[in-house]
Amino acid sequence: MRSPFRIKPRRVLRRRVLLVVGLALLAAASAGAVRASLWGGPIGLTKSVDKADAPPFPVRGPRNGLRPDGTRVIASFKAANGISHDAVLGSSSDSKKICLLDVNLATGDEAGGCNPTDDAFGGRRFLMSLSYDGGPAIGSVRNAHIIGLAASDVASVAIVSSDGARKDVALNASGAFVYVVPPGELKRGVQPVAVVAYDASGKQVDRQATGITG
Amino acid sequence: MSLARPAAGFSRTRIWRLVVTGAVVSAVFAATADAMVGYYYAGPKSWANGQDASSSYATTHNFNDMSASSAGYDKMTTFVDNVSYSWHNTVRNTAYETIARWASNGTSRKGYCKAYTSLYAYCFVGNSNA
Repeated sequence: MRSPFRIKPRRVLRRRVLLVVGLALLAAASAGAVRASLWGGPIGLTKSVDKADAPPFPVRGPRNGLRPDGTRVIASFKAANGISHDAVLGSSSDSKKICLLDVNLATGDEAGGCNPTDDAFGGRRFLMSLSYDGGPAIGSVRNAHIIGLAASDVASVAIVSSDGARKDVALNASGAFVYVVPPGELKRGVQPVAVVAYDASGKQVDRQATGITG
Repeated sequence: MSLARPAAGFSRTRIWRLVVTGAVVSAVFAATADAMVGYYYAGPKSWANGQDASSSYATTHNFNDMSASSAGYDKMTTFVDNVSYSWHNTVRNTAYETIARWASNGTSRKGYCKAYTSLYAYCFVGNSNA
């Protein structure tokens, strides 16, 4: 029986090898182009895509203070389920954005927001995020909390709940604040609906809506 | 380019085939590795208040991002599993980028994003460990 593979002359084989190598290089270049098209896209994916660029901050290093990767823990707290979290401030891998992230120290999960480095508060007086698990129905929401960082002219911050209550939250030395939503309130359908910032005179300087609205 | 005389029982043709196969495998690997980064599942486009979008389900999605044209727009990202359809690691804010990262744990999940105001934005889901 004749072999299905015909023996090719050496010159033909060499051409084929060069062709395949060329195609391989072309494929690699195309892949790079696809990757390049993501530049300017999501944070952490703005450079090359490898573990070093995992968005945005791998959980490692000391629990408090400056991390080895240059990020800074501005507040530490326990969520309603008792799991420790850090509020972490740091810049993106390309240094174009600054991010405030809620990091679950048990799982490494992250949630937060990023603004341009030259406008860290995004034109507001504070940067904050509401994060939670469960839902979308409010009765099944767990571990809801708000983390934030206020500008230096903010003297106090309050959380406004859907039942009309207003609760002051403390600003720490970094200007960070944390509010853990009481699980009992969530069960009753009560949720935070706004975060309000005041200056030293008590004048409202910013208000941002929030909420678990599904 | 020349090859040394091949060892007995290992023809020149087989060596070339190995070289060719290796090159093809390398090319496919390079292309596939980048394809696993992620994709934009909505936008960039204009969103109305309350409008939302979902990606397809995958176990590899661990990064979900909604980015607006600038900061100040209220929006949300989360992951939805395809067993209980519960939300995971939901985050809502007015930052330029609203991001959630839910570690891969074998659970099939989709990225979901929603606008709480009119804005111009896109949503992206991917695997940051690719």
